Amino acid sequence: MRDLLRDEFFIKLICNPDEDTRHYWQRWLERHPERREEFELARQTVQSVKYKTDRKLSEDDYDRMFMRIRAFKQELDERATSGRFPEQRDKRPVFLRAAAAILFLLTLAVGATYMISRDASENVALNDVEWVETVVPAGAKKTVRLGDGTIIRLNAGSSIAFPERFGADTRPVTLKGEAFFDVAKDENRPFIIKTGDITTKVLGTSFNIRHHEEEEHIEIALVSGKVRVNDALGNEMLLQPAEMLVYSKSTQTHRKSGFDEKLITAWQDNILVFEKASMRQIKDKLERWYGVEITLALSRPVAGHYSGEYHNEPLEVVLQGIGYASGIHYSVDHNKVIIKN
Amino acid sequence: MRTKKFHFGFNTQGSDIIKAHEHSARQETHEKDIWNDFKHGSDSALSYIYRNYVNQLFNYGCQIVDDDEFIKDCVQDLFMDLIRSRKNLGNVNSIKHYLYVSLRRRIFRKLKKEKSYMKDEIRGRPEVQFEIISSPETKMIEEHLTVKKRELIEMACKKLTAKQREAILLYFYEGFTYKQVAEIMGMGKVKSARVMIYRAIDALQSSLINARDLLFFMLLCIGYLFL
Repeated sequence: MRDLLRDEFFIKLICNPDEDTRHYWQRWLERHPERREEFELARQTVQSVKYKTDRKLSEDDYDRMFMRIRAFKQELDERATSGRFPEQRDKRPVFLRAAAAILFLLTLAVGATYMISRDASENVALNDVEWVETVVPAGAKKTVRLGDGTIIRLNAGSSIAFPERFGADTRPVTLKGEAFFDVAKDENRPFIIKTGDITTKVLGTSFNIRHHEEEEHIEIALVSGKVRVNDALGNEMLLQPAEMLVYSKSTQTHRKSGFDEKLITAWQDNILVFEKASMRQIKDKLERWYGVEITLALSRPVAGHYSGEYHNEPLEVVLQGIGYASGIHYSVDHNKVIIKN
Repeated sequence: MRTKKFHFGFNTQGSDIIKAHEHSARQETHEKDIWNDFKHGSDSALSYIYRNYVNQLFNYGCQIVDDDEFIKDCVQDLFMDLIRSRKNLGNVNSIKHYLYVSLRRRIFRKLKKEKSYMKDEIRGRPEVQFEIISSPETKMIEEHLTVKKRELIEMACKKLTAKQREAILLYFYEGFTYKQVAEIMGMGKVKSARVMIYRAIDALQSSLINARDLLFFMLLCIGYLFL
């Protein structure tokens, strides 16, 4: 048994087996039938050894740390793209800086008085809070940061509406299109997202919602935390991490499925993914992604579906790729595309 | 926690003993891709790495220093540093191994900085570091390890030093190779890790063999009584 326990390759069979390892040990057992029991004892010895106290982060800690890490990355990314260097030394004369400081303090004081007076009237005028809408045109993407710390990544051709300030009870927003949410934790104020007939309620978590007018399904894919989803008929569904809810608009029915996180969140990394897409779906997706107008001038229907992945490629490259696979031709004129076969 | 695991029974003879549950060769190239994506700033790669390893890292850290907050800080800083320096990161074959090496180094660096706190304290109580339990697999078809044997394994483990226990857990439980164990534990030579693990295995082995001999001896005694 000692030989087996000392053999890295034997440990590999138990901890990270692959085809080769399995094959090797299978042959080994056939050649040494008399060592079968010893083999089995060694295997169980290895498998029985465990950490006495196996520690795990609590769900809260798990979510919180992830949000902090993501926010950190987001900030870094945004700073990199905007090219600002906050460390740069201030070269303005002292009196100017002093004046700026005084001005700043003054603004702060005025702002605070204003806020306080506004707070006092808040109870009366709660319903009058103005809603703000952020619209992302086709061909672009945008990150929105809300007052409560929630971060929303909006995909092309999407929009989000939210109150200027959240009230004391809830944090409501309305989404059209597709977005990835990193909702800041606030146990006392649920974050509520309305998408068509569907309402998604969360306390603090990260997930992807996709709902385009022209599409039949609304998809909610949960990465971490917990969310509660309600439909127009009053049904309530609870989603666990790695679960996706698919709601059919025409039949008002829903089902749960798993999802490939890479596929669902790829758009955030500028990866354009087609998964068994029809010509119609390709058209809609490309129009949103590149902000172009596509006309399908097909003399006969295109057979089959198209799957493919493009990392930050220009439109022409994507069209070429689809063309090879599906036997279509295209012509591009400014932002108008015609697809023929 | 041990995610890649499989089990097989010996009731059936022949070739279906070893069943495929996962393909770790594919897993390895997959991990290389993920790491590469991460270096290029992918959010989904970050989330993959976090999801798969944060709890393992947390557990491993807590075995070294039994202080949740301290380890949480270390793990979070580790991720943030990775993000900050992602463009300069090298290629890795095993993400997990890379993370374990970095985390352990970070913990000891931080401990040194906070001298007044700890160090002596953990040095003083090595018996709580990397404690080992021997418990059966849930879906075992044939049980070879009796409760008695498991107790013996645990007893033998208790006699090991904290470092030996760490090495055994890294090798048996986490599935690292000798080379990887040496790198994680900051040992200059692979040979040192090998020797350390050999000794630990010998201790386990001899305690199991002793148990068998004892049983045999007892049977003999009982036999004599009846003669």
